[in-house]
Amino acid sequence: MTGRALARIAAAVVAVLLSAGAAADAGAADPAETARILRHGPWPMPWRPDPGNRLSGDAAAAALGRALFADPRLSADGSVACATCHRPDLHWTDGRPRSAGLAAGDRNAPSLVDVRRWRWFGWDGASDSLWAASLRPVLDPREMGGSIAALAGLVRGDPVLAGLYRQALGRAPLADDTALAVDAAKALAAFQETLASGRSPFDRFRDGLAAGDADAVSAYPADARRGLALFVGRGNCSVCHLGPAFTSGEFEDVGVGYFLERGRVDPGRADGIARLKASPFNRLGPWGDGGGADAAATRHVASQPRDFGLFKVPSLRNVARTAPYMHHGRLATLEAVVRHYSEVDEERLHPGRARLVRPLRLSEGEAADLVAFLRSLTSDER
Amino acid sequence: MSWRAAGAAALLALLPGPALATGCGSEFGAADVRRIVRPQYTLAYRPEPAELETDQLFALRVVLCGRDGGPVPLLVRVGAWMPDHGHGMNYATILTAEGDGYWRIDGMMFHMPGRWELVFDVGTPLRTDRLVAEEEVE
Ligand code: HEC
Ligand code: HEC
Repeated sequence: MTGRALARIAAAVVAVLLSAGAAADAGAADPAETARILRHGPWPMPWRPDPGNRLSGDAAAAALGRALFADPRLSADGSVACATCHRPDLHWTDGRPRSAGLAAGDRNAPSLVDVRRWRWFGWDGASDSLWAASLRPVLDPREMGGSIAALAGLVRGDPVLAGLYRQALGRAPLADDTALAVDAAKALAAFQETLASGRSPFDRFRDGLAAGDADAVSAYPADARRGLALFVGRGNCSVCHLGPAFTSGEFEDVGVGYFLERGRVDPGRADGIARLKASPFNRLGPWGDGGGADAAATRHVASQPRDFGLFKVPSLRNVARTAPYMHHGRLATLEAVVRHYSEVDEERLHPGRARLVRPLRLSEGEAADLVAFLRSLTSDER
Repeated sequence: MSWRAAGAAALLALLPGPALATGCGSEFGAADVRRIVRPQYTLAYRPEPAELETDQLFALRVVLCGRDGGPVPLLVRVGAWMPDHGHGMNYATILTAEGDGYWRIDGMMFHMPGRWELVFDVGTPLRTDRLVAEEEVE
């Protein structure tokens, strides 16, 4: 055998070994990493109706909620509907950095898909139930500028809405304005509960990994797989974007800044807790249907000095459909978000947070991989 | 059993149950009880539900047992802290005295995976000792 033939055989052996290594990689060789990946599923997870809303999970109530959601008469001048800022064709966002209703707002409109799963609502968690979060925009002068009396009057006075109300509740619209407006908010919640995300390429990979299904595992694109390794590994993203919904549902600071124009600031969670506790519509109040048994989080939530400038950790499911990003919408693309995490200025973070969010100094390839992973959280059907 | 072990067992049997550091909180179940032993007393606790999960509210059942049935301190404060990240919980606990050294702690939540320190301040409101236990959630 010539030396050259030997070299060729050696090269072939090396190639075989390398490809075996790559296959093992794709199947996640490291058991600790596999365990971290598996915790992001399975999806969808079970869901239980909200004990604080007796219309939760009710189809007739959802029909009333659907009608209300699209109705601009909920606003003071008849120009703004929920659907103005939560557009079905934009994955229930408005696609703008910051929403504008009757006046310009300071925050980005979050998607409403999977909203039935959250513990806190709004970037600052000022509401503790989906129905209370649905009443809030009606009353906010910058969003819809409506009132309890006007909302109740609309449901009572409009024959179509009154008919839908009767079908959902089995009685004529109540005479008490607040009770009727709360019913309308609960119906809005029942409608939004129907907005749920389906399965994504990531979920098929994750379940394939759990079941040892090599075909499902190898179907996942290699760049998304490398991005996933960064997400659960060096990137440390999973400490906040945890579990099947990719969020703890709690409040954190990632250093995107909370200053608004003209020296104003958005106090975030600090303000959210204050508004939550002051609201007559929270779970401890008389309008919920849970009798307080569903109110543990509200009862125990504690305000602390470090709440200032914290915002809710958003879910990352379907994040590719919800640009622009962050509570103020200042990051236009997923590439910009990943660049932010790569270069984050530690000086801008709360003390202590620097240990959770550090500039990752990603290479261009790594940044692209992380974006590919985030895109793989997009569900198949719209 | 050697005669010495038998003698020790007989002697211990004379003492009231909770006086034994090893028996404190035994009703919490051998698999789930955790203990912090001090010279004068032992604190035993069990999470409820027993399996700790990230991001879920849970409660603690706590009992303080005095050495040789002696007096026990009060439980004054219970909290938790992530030493690696420098932050505590987002929820404030409520302590309920159930009598005979038993307590129920509501409103615990480990909202992030990793290592947490459970902190029990015992004593009197004016003077407390700090007992620390470690828990890990994934
Ligand atoms: C002017 C635009 C606008 C309108 C109109 C509007 N929203 Fe929103 N929505 C937002 C913004 C902005 C936020 C974030 C608010 C915050 O952080 O305080 C939000 C938050 C929410 C949330 C919380 C979502 C989450 O994940 O925390 C719910 C639920 C919601 N809106 C439902 C509704 C309903 C129901 C209506 C109609 C009654 C409505 N919205 C009308 C802009 C709007
Ligand atoms: C300390 C907790 C924490 C860590 C770690 C973290 N995030 Fe976030 N993430 C947040 C919070 C909080 C926001 C919203 C911040 C705001 O608007 O002020 C956010 C926002 C985002 C958004 C924008 C979503 C939207 O709808 O606006 C994306 C995408 C994202 N994070 C991805 C990542 C990735 C990728 C990593 C790892 C490199 C990561 N995050 C690490 C807490 C965290």
